[in-house]
Amino acid sequence: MKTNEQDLAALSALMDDEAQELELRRLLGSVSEDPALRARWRRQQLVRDLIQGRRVDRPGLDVTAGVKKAIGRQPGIARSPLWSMAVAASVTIAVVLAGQTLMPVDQVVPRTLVSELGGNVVPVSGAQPVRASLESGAIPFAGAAGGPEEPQGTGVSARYERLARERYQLLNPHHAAVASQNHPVPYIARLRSEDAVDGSSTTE
Amino acid sequence: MSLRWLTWLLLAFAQCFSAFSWSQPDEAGCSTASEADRIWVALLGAHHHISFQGTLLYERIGGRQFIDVAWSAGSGEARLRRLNRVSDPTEESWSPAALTVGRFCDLRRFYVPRIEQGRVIAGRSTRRLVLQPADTLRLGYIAEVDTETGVPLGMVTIDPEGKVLERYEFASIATNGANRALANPDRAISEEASGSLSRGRDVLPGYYMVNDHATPAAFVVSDGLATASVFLEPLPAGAAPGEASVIEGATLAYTRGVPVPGQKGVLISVLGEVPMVTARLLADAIRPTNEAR
Repeated sequence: MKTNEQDLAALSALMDDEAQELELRRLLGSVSEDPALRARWRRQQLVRDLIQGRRVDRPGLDVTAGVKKAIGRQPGIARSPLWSMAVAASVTIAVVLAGQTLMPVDQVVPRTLVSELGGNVVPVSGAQPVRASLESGAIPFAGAAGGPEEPQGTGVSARYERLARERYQLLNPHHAAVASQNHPVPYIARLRSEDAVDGSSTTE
Repeated sequence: MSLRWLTWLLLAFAQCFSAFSWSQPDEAGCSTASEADRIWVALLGAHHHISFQGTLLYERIGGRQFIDVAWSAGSGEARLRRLNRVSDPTEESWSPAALTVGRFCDLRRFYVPRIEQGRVIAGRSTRRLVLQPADTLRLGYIAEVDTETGVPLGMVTIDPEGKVLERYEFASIATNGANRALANPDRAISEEASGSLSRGRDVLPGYYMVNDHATPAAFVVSDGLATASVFLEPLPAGAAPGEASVIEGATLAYTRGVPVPGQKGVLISVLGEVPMVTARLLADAIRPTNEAR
């Protein structure tokens, strides 16, 4: 079977995280039937991982079946352009994290993943929803600004640094309370906050 | 119900990795293969079998606390008194659901244990258990484990660069009971694995959903050693997208503002004893859905 140019273009788009969902589905179908295309995908994954400084422990690993299965579990994905974007990126993130997990400990190099802001969040393949209501229980902001749009740049950074510190002070008691339920040394998790807020009692 | 504030869905990485065999939870259990494994199991089981009372020092950058702590294995009740808070400190008591050795098989896949000669702590000999993370998603731990009971008499939490974030150490301790997980770790694992072990979905490799609540809106994930809480709040009016973080001891607070076209945005705050990369990935998992609009 001869690999056609459309498949090669789709493969390139996938490597650049730009493949749309339908394009990705078609490509996965082609990959499953075309050994040459499958081998090319593996090579390109390998090259990309090496370029990006990731260690490749299992270069022969074929993730296409897993990716295909994961995509198949996502409901209603074709209805939203946002979701389409999500599919391509989820392929990338799955490969990245799996590679990290496989790294031998002495080869692990801490690496910061770049996070997109402004709603371009990294997506999730085969994810299941959990519902959280923001109708009640919103936590008041200490000195939160309202009104006009904020200036961009350092003003935004300074505000988020302030927000992060406020969030730590306000939310850490909640976090410490649940962390003390999930730690082999529960009282240590509790010590991280001056006042944990679970159902504990205090006595003089 | 107002449409102004909509329901948000946390789309976690529940099954993202389930297609890959190496990331599947070890449902069949596991066994100890080394002294490090056995000491680790003993540590995980210590609070289920050993009651104790003692005084410890907890330190992190910028502060230290002297604590009287009492633990009852029978009732699962913890009591602590923060000695340097006031002259007559109040006593806090609560009943944490301490983790069991049943999490050992999960933890074993994401931390590499190593055993070293320990120090004498509170008059007791210890073995030093070094838990090195196998990926970049968690911190490292060095525990000084009592050779008689498995109780961690001291522990240091370190970041990926080897910097000490926090530590504690008992100055004195009196124990009571026998740790069955120390005497027969493999049996303890099999009993726990076939018994009461329950966990939520895996969100990131090794991290499972352990809790969620509405006030404040939050999801909690844990790998058995590290815990992270993901809080959702309305983005303050007029706030531009952005992110920032602060770290206090081992606890990282990462905040990200995400606007949503046509409606208010969301402020995502991740608090946890996790590296920045983990906090960002957890924030990444928060998605609005069309169904919520």
